[in-house]
Amino acid sequence: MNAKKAYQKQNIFRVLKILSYLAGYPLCMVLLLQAAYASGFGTKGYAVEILLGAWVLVTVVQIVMTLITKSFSARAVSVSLVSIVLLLGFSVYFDVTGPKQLQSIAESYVRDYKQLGEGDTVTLQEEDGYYVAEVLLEGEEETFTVKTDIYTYDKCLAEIKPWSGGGSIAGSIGSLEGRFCSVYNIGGSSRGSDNTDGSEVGPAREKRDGSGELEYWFGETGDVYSENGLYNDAYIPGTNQAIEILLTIYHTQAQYKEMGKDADEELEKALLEVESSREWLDYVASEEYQSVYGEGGTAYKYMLTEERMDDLLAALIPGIFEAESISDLLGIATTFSGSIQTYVDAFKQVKSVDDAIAALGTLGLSVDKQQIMDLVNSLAWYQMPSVLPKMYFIEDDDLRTYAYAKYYAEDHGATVGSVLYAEDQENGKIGKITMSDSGVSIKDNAFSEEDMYKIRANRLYGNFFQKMLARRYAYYFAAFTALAFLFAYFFGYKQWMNAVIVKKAAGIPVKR
Amino acid sequence: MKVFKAILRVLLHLIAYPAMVALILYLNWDIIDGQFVNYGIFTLVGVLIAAVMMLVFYIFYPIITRKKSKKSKLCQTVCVILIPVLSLAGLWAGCDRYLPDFISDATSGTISYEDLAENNWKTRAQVNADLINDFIAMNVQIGTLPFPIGMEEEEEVIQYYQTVGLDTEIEVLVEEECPYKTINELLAIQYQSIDGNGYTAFTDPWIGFANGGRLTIPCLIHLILDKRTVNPKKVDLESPAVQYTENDDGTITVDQVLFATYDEENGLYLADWQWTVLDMTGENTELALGDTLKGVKVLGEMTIFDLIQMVYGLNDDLIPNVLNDVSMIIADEDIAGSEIYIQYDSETGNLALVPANTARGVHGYMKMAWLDSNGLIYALVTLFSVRNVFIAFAGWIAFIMLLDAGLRGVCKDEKQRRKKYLAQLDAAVKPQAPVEPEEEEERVAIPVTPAPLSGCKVSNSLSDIQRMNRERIERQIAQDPYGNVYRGYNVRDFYR
Repeated sequence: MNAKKAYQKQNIFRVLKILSYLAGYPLCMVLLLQAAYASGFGTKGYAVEILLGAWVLVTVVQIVMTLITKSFSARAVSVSLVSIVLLLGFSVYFDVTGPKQLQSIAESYVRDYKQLGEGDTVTLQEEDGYYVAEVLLEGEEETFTVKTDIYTYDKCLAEIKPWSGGGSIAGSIGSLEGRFCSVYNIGGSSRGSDNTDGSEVGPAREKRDGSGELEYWFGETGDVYSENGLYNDAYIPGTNQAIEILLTIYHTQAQYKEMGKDADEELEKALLEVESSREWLDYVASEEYQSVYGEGGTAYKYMLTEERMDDLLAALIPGIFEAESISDLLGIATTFSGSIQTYVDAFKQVKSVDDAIAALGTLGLSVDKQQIMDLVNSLAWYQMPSVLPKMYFIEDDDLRTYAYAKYYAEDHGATVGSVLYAEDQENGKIGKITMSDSGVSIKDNAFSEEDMYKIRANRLYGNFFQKMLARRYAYYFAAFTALAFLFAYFFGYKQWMNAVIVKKAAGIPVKR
Repeated sequence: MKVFKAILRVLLHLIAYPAMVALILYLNWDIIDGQFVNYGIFTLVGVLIAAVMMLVFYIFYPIITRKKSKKSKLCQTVCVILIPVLSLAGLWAGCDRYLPDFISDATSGTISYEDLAENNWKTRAQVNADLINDFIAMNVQIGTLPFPIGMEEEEEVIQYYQTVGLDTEIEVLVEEECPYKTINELLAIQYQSIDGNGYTAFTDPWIGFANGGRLTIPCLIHLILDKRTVNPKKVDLESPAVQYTENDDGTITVDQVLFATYDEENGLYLADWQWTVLDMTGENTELALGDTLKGVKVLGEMTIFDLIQMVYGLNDDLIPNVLNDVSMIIADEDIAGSEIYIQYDSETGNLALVPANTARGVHGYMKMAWLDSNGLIYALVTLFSVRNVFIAFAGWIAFIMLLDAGLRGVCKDEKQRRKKYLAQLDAAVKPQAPVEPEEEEERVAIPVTPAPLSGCKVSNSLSDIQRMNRERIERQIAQDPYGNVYRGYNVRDFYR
């Protein structure tokens, strides 16, 4: 061979080698990144990670093969084989497990929604691209059908467009949860780990009865519990916890309705029973409780107590009646009704809660101190994180769990601005209720059980659609990358061959 | 021709880095012109980074392209192009990956990457310019920045303070023996009060809820009632505004964090002020009570709203005066500790709680925190001002350097190198006329410069058979100067 020609060929083969390599994984990654970005999965998503992982593995194999053999053909074949095995292996594995994952989501939805037991049988069928379940209850002979919104695997595949990915399908599945979070003013995941009194927040502790069970309700996610087993003061539930709380409320109410009872009335009765129970009375008398809610207890630093109410009234009332503009206003008011002056005189004397009760009496309003303090406590009661709440002592398990659910949905929700439930189903408000937001109507916006089960099922998809996108590109590029490697090594070999000829001819020592 | 080429090269270089620096200077000019007096070098960060990049380039450029360099001109050109590509585009590729999280952490999530990227840095610069200008205007209006001698118009005074510079000693403040002599010192005192005596003194998690749009009634009650404690680590104990006691056990208790204020009776002085949670947000809290006021009947068919409207009809100053008096009553230490103004919308019947920030000459907490770190924010803003320019100029300068390489004779150089290399090949394979032993020796002795070829390695772990084969072929090559031995020859024979 002419050495000059070899020199020219060497450069041509070098370029061809690089181009061949670029036509494999680099091209695959560029197209996948574009698709992942266009689909809304983001370029740091799972789909990219899968193929990037395969590329890294193949590169490691390339390095290892370079170290152990000088044979171009051995390197080319082994690297191509590994690449094919990785990409096809993942795709085939996903094709095998994907339908099972969808079936499991569909079955989970049906079992969850219909509250099926282990003995009940669910048989899934495909109908117009959706899974439909035939349910046979234990001990019964007739089945009934439950339609689901879960796509079959083939329909999912059809929805993932070749070059744009599956963003739309994933988006439509996520939109229901998005609306749920918006209505209840929560996030997808729970957050917050802080107590007002600075006490520690951590994982659920063991129950005090020594049973070894953990003291928690509605799912344990992270370090979120106070010492008394309640969520910490700053806790804002995520989708899963909010659904669990709401389903507990709905189910308990339905359960008591079936028995011809009202769950709220039963809860009230149970709390009254607790108040007179030996357990509760002993607990109230204990040092643990008294040091917090007894005389001079630590909880009152964070509460509006009667003493603080007295101070407040003593500062507020004289100020009001001494203000010139307010005197003018009252002067105008007395021209409408002479009796107003009597009320004014009565209220001018107010310096404490007792005075206020007396002054309200002149208006014909009969209230006692307990009513006033109940009203104040409904707004400014502080449940100390170290003290067990009264509902802890309810004996009936269902009612106790119901009490906790209501506490989180209503009381805790009102404190953190995420009200989950309102007893008044006609006019009640839920969601973001703050000083400047009045929430949304429960009647028009509350999520049905069915929707919540759908959200729960949808959360099982996880990275399914990203894997599906990765699968599509893995299938496309399994052959391409292998071919690209074969060509790259072939051209590399030709380049090397010509380089040796050229160097030998030019008398340049060849590196060994 | 040489002079023409030299001039052309100078021109090309001028439209590369110097043009980039000039463009960045132009883009930052408004910030530098308006805020250099306040924040000095922080406003020059963008220009300085560009200048440093230029400096780096012009340090390496002559080293890489020196005549004595063993690298070919093509190789030199590649190196020269790599500098702008890596230092300009590469820098921002890295920044785009890591800066979002860093900015979010550094500003506690109050400024995001999106607030600065693309052309949003201009908006951010304007927001921060407005913050300091508004702060000055508010303080002139309430008297904490007094009128300099000879100035009577408020607008004129505001303009004076806005241009005098934050660290310039102000004559009138020095004369009045104020606890602060410059605007920056006033800002430090006011921020310390709203931060140490305000935001950080409130209990968690309630202040976080209030600032995160979750100011519920229980949250408000906690923020009003819970005992506040000033953390000594959050205030500057050296400041004249901080009064503290050293305890026997070595700990420190902060007694008061004073706040600069002015009234006609006492003039300028430091006072102990309390802050409410509304002062932290610095924004009005709308109470949508209109429907309630219009719905509750008190006298026959007359609603509360009708009653208020009637009072308005009788005396239109009365209701505002009542609300003003109520805010003064609320300011009592035993109630809220600070004024909360109440605004009444006579058309809708809605009420709004208005914080005392403007009346005290401060922004809400978050804006005051920005103002306190305004220099750093300007540094960030001007850093982002170079982003698009760097990315665009990375390509542009690469292009310019290619043209420059052409003028440096890279093509000619490559041609010559190729020619030389091929000549070596020719010399190696050319048939030699009657071969004398000496000439033969001479031919063998021709010094050969190794060409910068790469990409081929020959194994050094040859088997005996492979070595024998190779030696055989090498012998054939030596005996066959025409190169005929290569015909039909397969390199794999080396290793067979």
